[in-house]
Amino acid sequence: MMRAISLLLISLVFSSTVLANNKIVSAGATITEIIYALGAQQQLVGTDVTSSKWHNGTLPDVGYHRALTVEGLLSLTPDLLIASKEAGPDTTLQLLQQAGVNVRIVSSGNRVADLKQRINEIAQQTGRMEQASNLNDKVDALANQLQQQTPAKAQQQKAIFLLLREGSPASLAGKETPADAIINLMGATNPAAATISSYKPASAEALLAMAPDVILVSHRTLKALGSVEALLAAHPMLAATPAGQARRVFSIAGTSLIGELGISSLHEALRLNNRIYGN
Amino acid sequence: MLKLSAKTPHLAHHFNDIHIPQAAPLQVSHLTYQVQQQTLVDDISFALKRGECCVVLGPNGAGKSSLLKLISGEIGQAGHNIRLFGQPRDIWPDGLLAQHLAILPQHSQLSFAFSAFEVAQLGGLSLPVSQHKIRRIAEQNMRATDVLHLAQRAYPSLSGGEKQRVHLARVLTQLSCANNHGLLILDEPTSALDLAQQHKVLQLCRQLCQQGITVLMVLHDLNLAAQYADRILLLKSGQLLVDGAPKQALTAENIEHVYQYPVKVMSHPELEHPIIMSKSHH
Amino acid sequence: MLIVRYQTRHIFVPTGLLLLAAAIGSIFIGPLPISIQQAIKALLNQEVAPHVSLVMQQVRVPRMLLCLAIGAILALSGTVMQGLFRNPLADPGIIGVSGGAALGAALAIVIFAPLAEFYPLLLTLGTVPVFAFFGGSLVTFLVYQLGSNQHGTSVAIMLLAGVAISALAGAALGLLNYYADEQALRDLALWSMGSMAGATWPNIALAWATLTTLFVCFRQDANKLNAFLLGEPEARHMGIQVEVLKRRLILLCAAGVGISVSLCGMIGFVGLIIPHLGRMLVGPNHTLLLPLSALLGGLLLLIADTVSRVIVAPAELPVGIITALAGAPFFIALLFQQRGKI
Repeated sequence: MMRAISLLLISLVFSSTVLANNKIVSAGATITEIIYALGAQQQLVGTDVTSSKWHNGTLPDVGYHRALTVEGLLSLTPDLLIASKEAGPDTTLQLLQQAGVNVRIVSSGNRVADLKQRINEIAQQTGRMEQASNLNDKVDALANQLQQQTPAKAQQQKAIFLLLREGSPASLAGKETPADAIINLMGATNPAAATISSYKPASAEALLAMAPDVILVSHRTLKALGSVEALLAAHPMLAATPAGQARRVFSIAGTSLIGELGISSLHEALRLNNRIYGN
Repeated sequence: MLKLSAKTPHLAHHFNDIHIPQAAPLQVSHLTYQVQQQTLVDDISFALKRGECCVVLGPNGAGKSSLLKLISGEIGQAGHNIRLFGQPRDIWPDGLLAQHLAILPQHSQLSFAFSAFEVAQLGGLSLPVSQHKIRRIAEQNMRATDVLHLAQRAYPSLSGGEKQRVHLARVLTQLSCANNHGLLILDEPTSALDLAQQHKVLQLCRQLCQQGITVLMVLHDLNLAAQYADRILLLKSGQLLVDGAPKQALTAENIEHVYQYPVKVMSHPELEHPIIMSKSHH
Repeated sequence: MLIVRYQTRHIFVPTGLLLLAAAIGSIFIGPLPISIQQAIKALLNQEVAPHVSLVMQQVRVPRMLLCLAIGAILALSGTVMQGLFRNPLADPGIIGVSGGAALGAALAIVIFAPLAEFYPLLLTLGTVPVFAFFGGSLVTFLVYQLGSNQHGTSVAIMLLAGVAISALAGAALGLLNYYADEQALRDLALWSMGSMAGATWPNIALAWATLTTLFVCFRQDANKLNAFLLGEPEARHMGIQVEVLKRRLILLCAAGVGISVSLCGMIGFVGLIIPHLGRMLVGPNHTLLLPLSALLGGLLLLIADTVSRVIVAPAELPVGIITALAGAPFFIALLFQQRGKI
């Protein structure tokens, strides 16, 4: 125990002095979000394609986080690659390590505890432990507020998240998705989480059977269709659900849905909680 | 003497027993071929002598093509009913057979832009000689078939007659190691040709016969057959009805019986072969 | 009067030089700026920065070698397929090899991706390449069986069977797409566009061994393939054991394409346009066409891969997109030129 603490202390000292000047490539939208939240964005020299909305294209894009390339990354001369556990391919990560790049895989998960763990890990790598404790306090505060505003189990509404894209079937968010985490955090239950994980195509009948009180879609979907009325007109099976009849269709910012649970996901959860339960 | 590949010792034993020049190039005995209860070739027997030019005639569906395909091995198991140079067709090794039996198709589906010279050289594929020698042989044969001036032309750009003569050069190249003991089968070689080209190709066939190559061909034109054949085989419903020299075979009676059509047969004023004319009025 | 006057043997010198230049160029070009002196030092194993020697020795040189082999394999297979089917529009995809390989890979990605969480070795040990190879071989076998009867193999039926089985594989692929999660979907999409990123030394050894085998075997059959262009009966009459030849060539092509698909995903158009380009230069004679196709295939893929590495650096475009972007217009132009001839 003592040894672990002393190691932690050493790494803290080390990180705050040396690591603050690291050049970092971030491979994961959630990771980039945390780096920005910690105020360490000056250290970023590149991000994956899903992170571009954080820097509006001002940083080099290293492509899809599943298809990272050795030379492309090395051309940015990074000291550190912070990546989610999906990042790859493995050969690239191995070669990067051989080339002297520190490859860090942050822990995964869609619980608030997982988010705080990620914040701590990234803070360690960027030498921002102080900012991390502030950030974690904020996360705790948000989580507490959400918990207080969560009604008793019996009064919880049923909410589903739908991914609606032109030309492909409506996909329903199951467990192990940020959308599911947001639904739970905002004090609702996700009827789809019982049967499916990740995103799966959903049939009209299955949607009706779930009888959601609230339907969530992404900002982009709603914007593309114009209004809730237009959305319900375009997807008549949604209009027949309790949520559709009560026009309880809300949109979520896409940034809070990509990757894993992030800080913006919490903000979105709180915003939606207020909308749904009318606090 | 024949050269045999080392892979076929048991065949080598068979082949050593014969002396090719004495055996008939083609001997067909009691050949029958049926498909789904339909008899396409019905108990046909005949033998060709070396250097003979034999033309198979008969109405559509008489079994001419089937007979040729049986001999060339495209259909059926001939067993011992077909012998080439004394040996049952089926026991000939592929490569050796190709040196003694060549087939000139009615038309070839070649659409790739080989030069005429390359097409002629393709005949040398199974020959046990060097590529250089094959080029020389192909060149000679192109001269013989009067297409040497077309050597560098793209094959698909040639006329029908030129294509046929290029292919003739190709099959001659294929038979060039047979010491003039080859059997050449032609399936309606003149069908796509104009008058002059038809006669040019058939004259070439006659020349080949004089060199000792045996020719068996299917023709549709009775008069061309009468002019160029040494021997006529008249087929009807899969049966060989008439077998003989043009003068004996191509009588009005025989032709009317086989084709079910009235004709008049005269003698050519200069060349003395029969001339067949329609007797029916339009 | 159309005279056939191809450049014949003389074309090999410039093509070889071009290939050499492209090969050298490809190892000096990349998103990481490396000076020529440093690059040479890294190649000679002399003292340079570790990341420079790593990029040279583990990325650029292996990729160059893999591109040469895979490009040559695809081009050779395409040439042989076109000869075998006597159809200038045939490519290895047409008898379903690529479709089958794609289906195999998709199966592996969709089925094993969830398991990979618990058994990470499953994907890294190459279930995708293995499934791709077996998918390709299985489809080839099926198509061949469908096209064969007691009289031999019908090329027309094989082509039709290939189209049908490709459609079936496409449908199955669609089904997998429908049920795959987002992650697998992206993986599948990336894989189907091809990538030379898997250039590890064992893969390179496999690719070159395959190329050598294919080249030696195809070269021996080059003249027979020429005869084959006359038609199957004609080839048979010329002493060729047609069935044996067909079976051998089809299996070799399936193996070649299956292996290249398994190593690099789907890379289109190389097998289709290179044989045409070769025929324009040296004519249809396979003794010349095969080696030239191998050179040109390697050249095309090498250039395409170099472009793919640089054009959106530090990210990378799938190489299949580049070959399709370059190949499709070329092919359309070719079709226009040959309208009525095919």
